[in-house]
Amino acid sequence: MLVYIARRFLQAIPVVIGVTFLIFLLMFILPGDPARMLVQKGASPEVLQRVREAYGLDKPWYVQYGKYMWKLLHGDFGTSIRYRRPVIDMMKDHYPNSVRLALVALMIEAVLGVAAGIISAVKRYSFLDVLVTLSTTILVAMPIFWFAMLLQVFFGLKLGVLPISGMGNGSWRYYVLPAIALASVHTAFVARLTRSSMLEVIRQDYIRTARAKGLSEWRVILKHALKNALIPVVTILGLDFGGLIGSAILTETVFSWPGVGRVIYLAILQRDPPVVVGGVLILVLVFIFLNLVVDISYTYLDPRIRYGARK
Amino acid sequence: MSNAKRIPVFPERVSVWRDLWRGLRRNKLAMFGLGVIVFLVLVAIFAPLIASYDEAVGFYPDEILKPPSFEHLMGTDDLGRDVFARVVWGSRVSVEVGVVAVGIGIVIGLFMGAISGYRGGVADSLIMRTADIFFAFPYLLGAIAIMTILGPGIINVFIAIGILEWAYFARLFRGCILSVKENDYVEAARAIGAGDVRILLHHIFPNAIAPVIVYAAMSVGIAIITEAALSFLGIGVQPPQPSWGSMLADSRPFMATAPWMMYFPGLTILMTVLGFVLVADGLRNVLDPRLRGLL
Repeated sequence: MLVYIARRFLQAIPVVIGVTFLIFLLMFILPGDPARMLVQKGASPEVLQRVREAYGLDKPWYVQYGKYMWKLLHGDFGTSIRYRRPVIDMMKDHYPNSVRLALVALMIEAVLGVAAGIISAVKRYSFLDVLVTLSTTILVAMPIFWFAMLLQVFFGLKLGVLPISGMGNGSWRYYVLPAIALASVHTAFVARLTRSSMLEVIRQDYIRTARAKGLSEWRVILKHALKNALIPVVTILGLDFGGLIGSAILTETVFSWPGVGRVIYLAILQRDPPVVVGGVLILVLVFIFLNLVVDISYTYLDPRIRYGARK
Repeated sequence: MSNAKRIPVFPERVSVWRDLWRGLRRNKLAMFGLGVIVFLVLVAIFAPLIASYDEAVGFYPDEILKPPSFEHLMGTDDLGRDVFARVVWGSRVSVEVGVVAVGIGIVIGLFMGAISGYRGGVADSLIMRTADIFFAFPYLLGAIAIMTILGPGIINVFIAIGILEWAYFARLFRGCILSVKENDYVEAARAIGAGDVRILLHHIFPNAIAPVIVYAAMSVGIAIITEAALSFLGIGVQPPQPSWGSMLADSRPFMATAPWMMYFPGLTILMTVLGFVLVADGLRNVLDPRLRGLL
């Protein structure tokens, strides 16, 4: 088990290096001179040159990349050219907002998605099953930003029951619409996956055994079938958390949610490479880390993997 | 498995396309999806016959923010442009992105996947580890990063989505090749002296391509939604070219006063993507036993 965990950690390292390099390379070939944005218009070439030297922008790319990596290893994710603030601080300010929103969305996904999937599988071909299948198919095809706007129009403007912008005083009311919008597509995936996974598990011999020994139907479903059916669902939920923060850019844009997706989006528009690199990098690191957590929680849920790793 | 089982009783050449079509025809939802796709493509091709381009891109001070009517089926926007005409002309962007962007992803992906799966070894590790880096990026985040570097415009949307898509096709195709190349008929082809290219193109490719077709249907939907998202954020297709995503962005200030500006483009995106999702679902059902775990 420990060997397995260690191996997964080691496998993540080249991905992390590749990701930092790719992002760095992309930002390095960005058109436009970042030094120009640091100074007032009409600055003399000498001033520009001094600024480049001060920020190390005159060095070749591999020197800049090496320096960047060195700093990363010391927890320094760069400094915003525009705001002259450490990226890590800008991210720290906004990250909790995104994480909170993503957690609420994840909860909606897990509860609603799994519940819908179970009902759909257990009552196969019933009205409810058709309803779930139909609505999840539509949600999968839904442009999330349009769905977010529809929520704004109906619940915010028409009914006037929920706020549609920002997070105000942080009350739960501000979370409802953005979280639903953010969760929508993924909830549909979770429901579909739970359904197909349940249908598969229900056919297994141990379910017949559980029924044969006289357990109640709900006990069979919730205790014996669900735990096994949830293995792929846990994977998706874990992967989703990283994906949620990534796709939060659209939701955060529509709802003016002060999260990290919005910071990155604004930074890209303002040509503030360190913020984009630092921000995307943190998101990707979270994503990779969550993959590890998911893989490891696999071994808890499915002992077969544990035994397989020991061989 | 005994070898006798593998010898076909009626050696008939069955194309993968006909196989898929036979299965698909029985699925009503998938046929509906296919109908939507065909309709979309026809609208894109015959856009000039359906709606005037001038009404889609001009400025008509007398026609500003008119609700839907017989004259303007979907109303007009804040510049007096006909929303219906813009939706019709916007279909061209979506069809182009679907075909070209995913096409780029498929070409690069199949090439890399073929090398990776068929050659194995160092090339395989190198390609798959590179693909891992692309998988580590949340899709839209990657697209935004690439678009900012390349600058806005439809050509760059093709490139951005193509770059992101290749890794998915490569991994999928590699997996298919790995399972197909173990078959006896591949060994047989080699035994009678067929070269690598011939084996790949004539023996492996036709048997490994089906899952790629399913994923392609799905990824055209993803590409169309991604283009809409990029244009919505202002870094995709640029005005005056109408795109469904930028129409939605334009509609935001008028959500309360002119909601038809957002209803129709959004509904169009939904229906289009739904078409591809339904077809992909239908195709997947046809291939299900072979596909479980791959898609």
